[in-house]
Amino acid sequence: MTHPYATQPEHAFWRQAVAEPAARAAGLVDPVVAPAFGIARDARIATAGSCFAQHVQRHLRAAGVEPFVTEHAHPLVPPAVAQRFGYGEFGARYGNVYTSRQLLQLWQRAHGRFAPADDAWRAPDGGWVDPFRPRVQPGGFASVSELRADRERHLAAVRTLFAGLDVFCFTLGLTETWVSREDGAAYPVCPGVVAGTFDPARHALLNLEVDEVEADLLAFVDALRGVNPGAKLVLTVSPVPLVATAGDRHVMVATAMSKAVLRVAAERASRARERVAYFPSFEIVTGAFHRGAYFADDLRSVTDAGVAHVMRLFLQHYLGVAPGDGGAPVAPAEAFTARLEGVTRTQCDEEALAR
Amino acid sequence: MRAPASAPLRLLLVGQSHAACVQRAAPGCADALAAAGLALEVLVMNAPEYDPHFLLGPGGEARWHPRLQADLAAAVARADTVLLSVGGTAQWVLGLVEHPRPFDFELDGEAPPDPARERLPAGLVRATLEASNLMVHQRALREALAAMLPRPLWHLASPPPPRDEHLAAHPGRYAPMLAEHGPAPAALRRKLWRLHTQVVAEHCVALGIDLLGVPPTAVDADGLLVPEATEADPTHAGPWYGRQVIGQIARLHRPGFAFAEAP
Repeated sequence: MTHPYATQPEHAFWRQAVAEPAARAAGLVDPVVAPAFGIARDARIATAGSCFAQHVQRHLRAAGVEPFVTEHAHPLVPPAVAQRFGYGEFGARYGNVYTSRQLLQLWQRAHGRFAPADDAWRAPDGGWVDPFRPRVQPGGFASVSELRADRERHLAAVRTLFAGLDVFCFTLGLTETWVSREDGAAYPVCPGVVAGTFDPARHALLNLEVDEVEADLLAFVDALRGVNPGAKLVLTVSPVPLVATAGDRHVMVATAMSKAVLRVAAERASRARERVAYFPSFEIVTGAFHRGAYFADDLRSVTDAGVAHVMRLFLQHYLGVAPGDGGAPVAPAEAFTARLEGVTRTQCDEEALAR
Repeated sequence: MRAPASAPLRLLLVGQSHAACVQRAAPGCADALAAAGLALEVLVMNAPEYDPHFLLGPGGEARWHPRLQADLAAAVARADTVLLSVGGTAQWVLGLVEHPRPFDFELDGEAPPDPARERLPAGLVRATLEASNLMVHQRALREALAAMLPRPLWHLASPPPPRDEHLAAHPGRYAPMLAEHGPAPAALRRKLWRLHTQVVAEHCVALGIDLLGVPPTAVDADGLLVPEATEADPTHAGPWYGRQVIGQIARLHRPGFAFAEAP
């Protein structure tokens, strides 16, 4: 007797593909059957997404693959300060992009297709906060004028990013998002949490459904290919559970639903468009095969081992490179500033001499 | 530490390079101070005999030069009141010389950012200043001194930058870089100085130290150092400025104090 399973490859069977390798070592489990496309080592790879996406950027660097970044801090700013202010975290200084709606609107805002009515929020300490990048400027901007100038520069960098990238890696994080009732602007963080004021008359909870996420993703892909026809995309779903739900269900139930929506939408988008790949970060980190080893004690944060497994497989299958140690090299101080510091110290010592 | 009524009130200024102009002016002010029942001693910590005067270990642990530690202790023991002048130069690392990528930023009360220059968020400039090696060192030094000194305690504001023509005439060690890159605009130099002063002021408040501002007579209409306050140095003030500061210090304790003659 014969049947379709008789000719299925080994990776189609749980015992051979998951249970048996996991019994030897969790790291042997490899759900990436074949990459949808290859990525050249010198390809311009841009990243965006939720918190998990930051690991992608970091591990690319550690593997000697410099991510494509178009918005850099002024060279005067030391690396540690630049990082604190959100530079180099992703392709541009947009901060976390949690939802498909936020991604699509980032595109629209950068290309003049959408200008949210909500312009600036006042922070408790008096600074001004960009509602769409609420955490990129610790302490807030000094004025609305400064905020707008920085936003203009940022959106120009976003346009350059989308036009110039070869590969866009996007990590889908959430389906729940707060939006403006006035114009549908999707906020990365609920108004009132970091800055601004929550007003139920002005702000609504939107829990994106599969069709909505899929539509957002496809609209984004089509828009991106309008300016960058050759762009490839890698979609992945963040394995990190919701920190909280604004709905009325248990957060674990809300998380499962949200991730299911994102997973299905990512799958549909990868099938609907060429050169859009789905990468199984979610499956690797949430799989039972490692028996919880890839989640930290808070049962939310992904352990280094989990991130390493994900990135090893991504680098191996898509770029054909070995992973680094996970740490980015420390950039040296800017030469100009280091020289000026040396002169300033000497000048002060000479002043102390002339008594 | 309170002296008998017949003895002068003994003031001690402990500082780095910006205390040097006060030290140079002090001998010429001694008689006027004595007539007001005051005496001023100045200890310049980064003098060559104390080099290196204050080091920070990898874990932030502080180490004093042993001779400075001894001299400082002795000077404090002699004094009735102590004033500090720590730092005042870190801002020049950001902008005394024009950066190859010219920048500007917004600061309340100062000239608006030059639209021809790259506008940086003010918070980013401040964070950059605060993270600089000199600021980190000077902050630790200020904290170490604050921990060992009695209150009330004052901290002198550093002098504002001089005008462009002074910088051109007296580039000091900056000469090669100034020749290569030119000076940062005066408005930017002033903003960086004010930002630095704000950061120091906030630190002083946190430490329970009062800030003594720049003598108003030393500042011109553009907020820069008047020519008579300068010396042959791109970043430090001279004895005339030191005399103005001594007058301010004296008036803290003798409100009507004034020098009988102009310098």
